[in-house]
Amino acid sequence: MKRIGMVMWVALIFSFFCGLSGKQAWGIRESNLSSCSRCHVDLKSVLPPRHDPVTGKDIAACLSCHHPSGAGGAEPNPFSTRIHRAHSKPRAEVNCLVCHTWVPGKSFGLVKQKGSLGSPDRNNMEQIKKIFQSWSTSSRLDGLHAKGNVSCRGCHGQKLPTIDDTVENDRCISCHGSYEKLAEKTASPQFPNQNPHKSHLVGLACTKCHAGHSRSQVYCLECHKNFNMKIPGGS
Amino acid sequence: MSKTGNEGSEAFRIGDESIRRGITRRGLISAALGAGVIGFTALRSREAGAILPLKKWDKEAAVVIVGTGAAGLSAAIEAKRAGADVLVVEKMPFIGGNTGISTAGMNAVMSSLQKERGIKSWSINEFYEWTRMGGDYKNRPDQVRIFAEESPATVEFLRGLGAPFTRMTHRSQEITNRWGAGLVELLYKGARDLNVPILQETKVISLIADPTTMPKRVHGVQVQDRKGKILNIQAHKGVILATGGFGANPELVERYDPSLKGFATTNIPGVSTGECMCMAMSLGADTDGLNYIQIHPTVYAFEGRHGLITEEVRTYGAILVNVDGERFVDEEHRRDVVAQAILKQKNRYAYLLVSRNVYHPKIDDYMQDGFVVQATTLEDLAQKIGIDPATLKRTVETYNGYVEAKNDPDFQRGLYREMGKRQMFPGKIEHPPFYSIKVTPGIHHCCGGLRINRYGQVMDAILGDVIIQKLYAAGEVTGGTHGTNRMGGNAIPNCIIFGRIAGMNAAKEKDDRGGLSRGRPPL
Repeated sequence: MKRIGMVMWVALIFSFFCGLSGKQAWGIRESNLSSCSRCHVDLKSVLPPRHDPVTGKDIAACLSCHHPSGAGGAEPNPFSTRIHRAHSKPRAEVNCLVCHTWVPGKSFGLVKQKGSLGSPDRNNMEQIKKIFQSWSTSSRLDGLHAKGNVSCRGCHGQKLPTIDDTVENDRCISCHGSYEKLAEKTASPQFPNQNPHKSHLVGLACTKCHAGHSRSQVYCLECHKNFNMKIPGGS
Repeated sequence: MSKTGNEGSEAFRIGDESIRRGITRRGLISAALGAGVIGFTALRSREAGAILPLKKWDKEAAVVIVGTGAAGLSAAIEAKRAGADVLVVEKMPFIGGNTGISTAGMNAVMSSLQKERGIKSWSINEFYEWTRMGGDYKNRPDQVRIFAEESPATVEFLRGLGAPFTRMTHRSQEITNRWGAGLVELLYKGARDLNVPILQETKVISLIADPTTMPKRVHGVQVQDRKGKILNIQAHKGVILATGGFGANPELVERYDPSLKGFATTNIPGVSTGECMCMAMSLGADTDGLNYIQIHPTVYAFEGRHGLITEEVRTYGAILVNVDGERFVDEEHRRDVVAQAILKQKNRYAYLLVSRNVYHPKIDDYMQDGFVVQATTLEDLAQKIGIDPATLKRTVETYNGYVEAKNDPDFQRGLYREMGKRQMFPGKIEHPPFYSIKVTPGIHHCCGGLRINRYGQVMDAILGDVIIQKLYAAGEVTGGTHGTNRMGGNAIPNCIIFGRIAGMNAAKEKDDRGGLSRGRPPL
């Protein structure tokens, strides 16, 4: 019985998304998309239990309270993270343009909001979508940040990153603490000289080991092949 | 021969548009420059020896410094202190280059610290004479004179940055207790406290220079930043090359010393590859002793791993034995002598043999790298490394007898190092456990490089005393200090002394901001 119930449930969800996929696959432009209620008939059901009632049918309703911060700080942003993760998971790939406005190569913003987050063209957009998928599900550093409510902005700043973007040490350090503090965390009592954050590679760029969207690799191991070192997002 | 010719002509067709235009517009500006430069372009995709000055620049600074080892950071600190705005570029993702993995034993004499701590020091003249002799008198006397005389000031400079100087002798100083990494941290902090911007993962791909003037004149550098973008950086007062040697570039090593083909290197892969030196040469810079490439006697380079085993392991008391279990050299002789001795042994390698009582703390690190074989008895050790146990035991017993008698009739251990006055025996090989490290010589240090004058300016190869304007160099990229053979502990002071000189003098150059007025050489 249980099994049949589950199959039914899966079938139901599947048919639901199949129904959507024709029109609402990623990146297909459509007019009059911007309503949350197209999918969430009862918006209340997807809100946290004690959330105030929402009036309005699009993202603008949320943004009146959840102000999009213009400062581009590195601190966690649970609202942005949750809403992006929920809508960019595989099988829930909602068109970005439900909430965002986009003129390819010119601007990218939020519905009914002033200001642009960048000027991605069609290629950039494809890349951004791929990276969003990785961010929302992967066991890489991007996925780990997503779990900690850190979205693109946390590392890349307010503007949408371009494909060649990289992250400077100061950005990482603003949340994770200085090299000295990190060195305390990664100190090896057995081998005091085997500390990835206190080595002969002074001021090493964090990104040399910690990759955002690909597998992280310990740079030390390129020469010191005998070292036993692990890194988050390195599996 | 034909290969080079082909590359040249190929390059003229595919070469950088601006270079080609420059050549037609200005007539054959410099055929030598063109051929050299463009040949390089063809070989190294976007790298060129030098390109002509541009109308538009992406960044500017008074002094642009290439490299963040001991020389680059010292230059940055001095140039900034002299009031110039400085920009440092570093191609690697980390600071310090090979300085970070050096032991950072620094020779310095007649320093205030030696006086304060009551340590007998070599005199300036002794230091000068030893450095000259160590380099077989092929080093340049005026340069070695500056090198020896600046020694006390170098210690003051480092003390001013907060160096603790944890250990010192009549010549060798341990600047911090964290080897080279400690020195890099010290200099890096010094530079950061002065707000010197450092662009990491930013690689120089060509010098921007005007070869039509006499003397030739450098205007800046073209770099590729960490995002892959090409930037043209203008240097109003000068460019300082502090880029290290070329020990990690097998092509260049073989070019200047074919006998070293296939040798392992002690340099960090990708760090000392010598391309900036080649760019300066292609612009017409002179060189000094390029074929004097020092090999380090003791490098572990087996089973796909490699690492330098510091010479201090031997000064602490290790002996060297060959595969037959016999000693073959005064372990504390000049590094080139020891290296050549090892190369004459069977299979061109030897074993360092250490016991607990003459243990060097760095062996801890070598153990983690898997370079060390350890055993509780000599016989076990011999078996593990495949030496006849009886021979090894006899060798060690004989050696211990020499230590007891303070006389080594076979090789006069330490007699050279002690200036012929006495032999040196740090200790017997007696207390277990016993350790052995398999070693072979590897490429270590480029004693030669660009020829500089006393102000750190790079000299033109043309006859006469001609500089290349606004181009400075310091550290291992230069030649002249070490002659044929660098004395242990002379690399770090060479970097710091001539780094500071280059930094100070570059800061004194005429600032050409607001126009292309041609600066005169300083002083």
